[in-house]
Amino acid sequence: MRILFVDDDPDTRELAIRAVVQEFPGATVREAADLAGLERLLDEWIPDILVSDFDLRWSDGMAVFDRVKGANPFCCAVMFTGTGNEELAVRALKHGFDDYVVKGSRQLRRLAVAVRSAYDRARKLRDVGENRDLVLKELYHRLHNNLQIVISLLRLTERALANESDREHIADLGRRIQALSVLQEEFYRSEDFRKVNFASFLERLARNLGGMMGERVQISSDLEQDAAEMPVDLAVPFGLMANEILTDALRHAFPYEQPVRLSVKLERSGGHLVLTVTGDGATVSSGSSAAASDLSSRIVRRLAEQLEGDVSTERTEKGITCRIRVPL
Amino acid sequence: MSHQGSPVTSRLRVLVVEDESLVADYVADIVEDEGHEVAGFAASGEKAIQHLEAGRVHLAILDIKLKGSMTGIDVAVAARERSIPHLFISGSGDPTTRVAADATGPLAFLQKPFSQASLASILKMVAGNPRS
Repeated sequence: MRILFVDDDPDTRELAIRAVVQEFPGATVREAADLAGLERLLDEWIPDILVSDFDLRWSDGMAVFDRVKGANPFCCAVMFTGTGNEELAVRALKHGFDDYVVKGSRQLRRLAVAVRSAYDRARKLRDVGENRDLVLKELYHRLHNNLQIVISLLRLTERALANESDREHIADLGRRIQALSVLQEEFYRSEDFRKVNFASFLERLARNLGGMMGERVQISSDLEQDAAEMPVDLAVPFGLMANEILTDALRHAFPYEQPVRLSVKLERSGGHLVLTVTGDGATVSSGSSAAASDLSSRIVRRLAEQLEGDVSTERTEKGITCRIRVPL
Repeated sequence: MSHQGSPVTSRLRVLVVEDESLVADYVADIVEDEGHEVAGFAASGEKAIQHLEAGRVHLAILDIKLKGSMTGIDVAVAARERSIPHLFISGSGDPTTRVAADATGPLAFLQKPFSQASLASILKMVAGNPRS
């Protein structure tokens, strides 16, 4: 336990230290009486508890608080001041102090109790936070393991099927789940579960899908960073659509042996988010690929409707261009 | 020496260390599809070490959370002592685990769920196929 006392008056510091140390026997105590002393101290020593006066010749309690919290955001703080009025007390608490005690010899016991309860409260909050982090980590781990089992089951099923068209449908389903998993990972990485970096998602998705076809596929991407930060409720359907059109572009390219170039572009344009995928070497699909393509188109259409957007596909002898536009 | 169109590849004997048997089967299928051989399966670190000690393992594919008291990272350390390359497959997103795993010098760290293509491409690289 490390306690820092900041006050201009050495007698007040001594009395305050004596009172608080009775509550925390064995604590390490340091004092700061000026800015240089405070800075020197914080360079090599991080307090768990701050007891500070408000009215300092060289600064004020709020500035000291900010400096100490910069060194340890979990440090708890009690203001101990002779400048006692209600307005200051409210300001101190609003600023983030855990408690406020007016100076006076009879108040020393109150100071010790205030520091104790502030410290216990901070520790409890930290424990709750750590526990929540543990639960989140475990949930994340479980979710990813379970998704891996789903993908493994799909792969085992795919291998057991005799019909090529059935196998292709199962493989597509596996890719859809894989795409959702990559999105899930991006949520987790963002540390803000409401947003996702869609550019990073697209890059990983394209890499995964490109991997299916080895080095025949060259994928280039042009992803506008402004368009990349996406809320979750948009990222999931938009991500699934991106997976469908990328898969479909690769599917059409598949019959050829020559290298395939695929370009992915994400931009903001006129209040819309626009994703354009262009693939060369594309051809009109046939047989089992046609059925898989029909399903892909249907999924993209339905998701576009959900987002009140539109989809356009242009096929030429040279290639295929698919554009999804959704309002922001 | 290889001639053009038939690059140098080696048939690897791969140890699959994974406590979820369906995932172990998935990994084994990918290993075999790539033309390699599964040297054995282990659901615990202890069993994995036995396989490593028995020899004839060219590559170890390791989950991190296993049955028993050992982790995949412990197995990685043992593999490294025997100069057997390894890679991780794990559902853990914990940065501390990741740092400990990276410290063992793996060929790769595949975040679960991983695709068939991503594991296949690593196997191609390890087998020394320049066309991978």
